[in-house]
Amino acid sequence: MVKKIKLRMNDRLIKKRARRASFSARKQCRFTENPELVGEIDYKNVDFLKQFLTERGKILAARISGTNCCYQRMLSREIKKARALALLPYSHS
Amino acid sequence: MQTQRYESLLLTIPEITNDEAAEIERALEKKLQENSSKLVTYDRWGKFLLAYPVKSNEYGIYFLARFDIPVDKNNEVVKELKSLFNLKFNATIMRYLISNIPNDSPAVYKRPQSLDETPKDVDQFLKENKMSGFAPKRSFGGQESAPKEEVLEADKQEMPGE
Repeated sequence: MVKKIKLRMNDRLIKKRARRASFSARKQCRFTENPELVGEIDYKNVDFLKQFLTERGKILAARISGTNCCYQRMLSREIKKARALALLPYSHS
Repeated sequence: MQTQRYESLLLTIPEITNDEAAEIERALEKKLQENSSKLVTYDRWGKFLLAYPVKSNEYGIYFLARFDIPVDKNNEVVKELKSLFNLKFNATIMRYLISNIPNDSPAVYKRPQSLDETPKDVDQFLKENKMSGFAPKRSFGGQESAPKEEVLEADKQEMPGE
């Protein structure tokens, strides 16, 4: 018979740390690394903005793209401007 | 007098004539001059396939206008421009966006490629870019496609044996 061993708190923490260490390095923001790119964020520059959209036309989460908060806000504002002018889709059906 | 630069992108119907486009420019310039403002540029982007149909139009033509407005008058002038686009050019202008930009922003900007600029004829495109097309004349090693003939001859020799 196999006994289920409940891990102690200390062991659980060690396991958690090991799991975190096994992940790849943290994603880095493209705009903080390369500040010249900030000028590219513009509602007219549709080809650049398309990099931050999913296939269905949704805005890619900062959690996934690694963009910093302030640049994510700029991006989403410009994408919404482009959507209003039919340069970008609201959604691909 | 201190001025603030603005730009407005106009989305018009695809059937717009040159006269109508010129009339929009004239009306815009006149309205700006009345309010001691100045039209800087007025560009035609060309025809575009829209991301979604607007007023049941699949295509549209974009115009970008940039203008300087005195800081103390900007609210009134923008309001007047909005009413101009909404009322007078209701039939031609489908959508518009007026936004302020920094005064020292460069005159050159990036924009998507219009349908007029994209090449329609394949042969012409290949000639302009000095490309030979999809069918390769030579194999990847840079040799003439001679080995094919040898294979064919070998097949012929095997044929009578069957």
